[in-house]
Amino acid sequence: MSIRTESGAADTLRARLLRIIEYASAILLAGIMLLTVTDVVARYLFHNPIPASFELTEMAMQVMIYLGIAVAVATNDHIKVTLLDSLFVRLPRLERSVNRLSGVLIAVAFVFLGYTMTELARGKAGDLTSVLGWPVAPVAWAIAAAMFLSAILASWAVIRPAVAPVGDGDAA
Amino acid sequence: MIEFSLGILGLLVLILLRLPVALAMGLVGFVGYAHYMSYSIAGKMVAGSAFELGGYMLTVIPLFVLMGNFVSTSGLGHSLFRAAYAFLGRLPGGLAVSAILASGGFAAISGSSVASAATMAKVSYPPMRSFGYAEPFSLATIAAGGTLGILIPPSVVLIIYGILAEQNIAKLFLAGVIPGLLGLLLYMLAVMFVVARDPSAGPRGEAMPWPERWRALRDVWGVIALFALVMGGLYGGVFTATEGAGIGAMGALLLTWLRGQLTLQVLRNAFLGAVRTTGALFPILLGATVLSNFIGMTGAPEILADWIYEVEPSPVLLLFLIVLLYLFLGCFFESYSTLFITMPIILPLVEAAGFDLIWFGIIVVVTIEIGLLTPPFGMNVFVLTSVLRNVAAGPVFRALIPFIVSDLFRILLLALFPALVLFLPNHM
Repeated sequence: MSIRTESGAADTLRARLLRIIEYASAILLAGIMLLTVTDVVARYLFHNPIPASFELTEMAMQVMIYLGIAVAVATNDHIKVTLLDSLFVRLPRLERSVNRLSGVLIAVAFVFLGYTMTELARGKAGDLTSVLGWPVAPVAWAIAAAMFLSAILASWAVIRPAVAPVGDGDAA
Repeated sequence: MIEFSLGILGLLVLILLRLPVALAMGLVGFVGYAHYMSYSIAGKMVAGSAFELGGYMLTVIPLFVLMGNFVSTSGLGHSLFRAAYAFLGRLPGGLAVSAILASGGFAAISGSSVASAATMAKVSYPPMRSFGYAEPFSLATIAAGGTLGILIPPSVVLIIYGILAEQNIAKLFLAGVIPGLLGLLLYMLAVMFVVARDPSAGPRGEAMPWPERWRALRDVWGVIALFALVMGGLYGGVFTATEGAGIGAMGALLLTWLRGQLTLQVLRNAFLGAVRTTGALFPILLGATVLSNFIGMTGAPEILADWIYEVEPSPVLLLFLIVLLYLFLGCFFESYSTLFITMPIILPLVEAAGFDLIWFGIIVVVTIEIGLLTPPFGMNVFVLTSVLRNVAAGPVFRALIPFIVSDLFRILLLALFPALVLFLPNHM
């Protein structure tokens, strides 16, 4: 009984976390869209482009991508080659172990990525962007944080695969 | 060359084991790179690639996906089909012809073939069935129509090719216009061919009076205007591909609002959908970057290029072999994976052979898209069978043969007359 409530609370936490990540990423995307349009309009109508729009877009995009990746990881939305699926269906135990292994590898990969990104962030300490003169390192730190989040969400997907709905992967 | 072969072999094993393609590419690339340098340097390389992933140019992907999402949620598919039907429904096979034209229109805003097939299945399948069209033929029409989304800009696959081949995305988009329209035309001819052989396969629809036709057209003027704005802006050099994508997304949002369909729900779904697609797609870009850094170290691209210089195969033969390779791969792999895995090897080869990379890109993309229609893994067919339940895939694949033949004919035309591809981008 107590276990069930605990995992229920954990699931709620995960759902909330996921929602925050999704909305943060969506807001960044909306910002990128508005900034791009404003820049073009300002350039042609008022001959007054926004000089920092390139920099701002790039920074927003860097963070947005990794938040989006965290969402994809949490919902198990990976692009895979399904050539041997018919074979896997006949070997459910093999399928399960491969899925588990792949989930663990994803989590490990994100821990590693997050770690190398913190190194990179340290290396960028003191670097400034060319137009705004903003520090570059916080972007790298944000990416590293998103990567560690992805690692947590990936581990979660391994431990409780039933929670993760199948994403409507929209390839091609 | 041994390292290269081992790497490719390892990659194949990992992706066949159903590891995510991005992870497989990243893993092989990282280990291979570390083999030449060291693990700590390889780690730095990966982090650097990951940091650079959010380049300004890549913003085109989420923005164009966003634009397509607005269109697919706003019921525009319906209006497009109605407008096409109002004008062409009376022809023999009129509903199928209309479905193809509507798919083409949808493709002009959306960059995804699967989204296009899924939307049109809901829109054009019921009327086709009620007019007595056979199920396999109706579905084949929709599946084939969906592939138009890949070439008619905006196109996510073309953007990815552009990034891998370091080609101008605006130019690639313009290069896709005529081949895309050619595909539209050839698919319509394929429908007419089927109907000419068996008139009962595609009965005529009802005639519509002119006032009704204009009314149907009025519903879609916005799409036509938006496409004209984005493509015109790219063609005239008024804005870059990224800016065009931003304007396209904003325009699609406004269009949805003008049509009175901009609810909070639609807004949310469009943005969150774009975030999810981005999240699923970008890891492969990172994996591909890491992998190609390793492949560059192996020296294999130079060896292949030297081999091309030495052998000097006839360009026709080389192109024929490459098309054959992609037809084969297209049967088994989904289009993104095919591009990502093969490009680091194929590009130096065709560059050495002196091919125009824009022209080559269009040919490769048309070839890969055929894979969406062929068994055993024709994705567009399976999308349809999952959207409409209780439909068998086998007869649909058979009904697709005329469309596939018309695609092969299109590749032949594009190969023989490169001007079909290059005319627009060269006049930018």
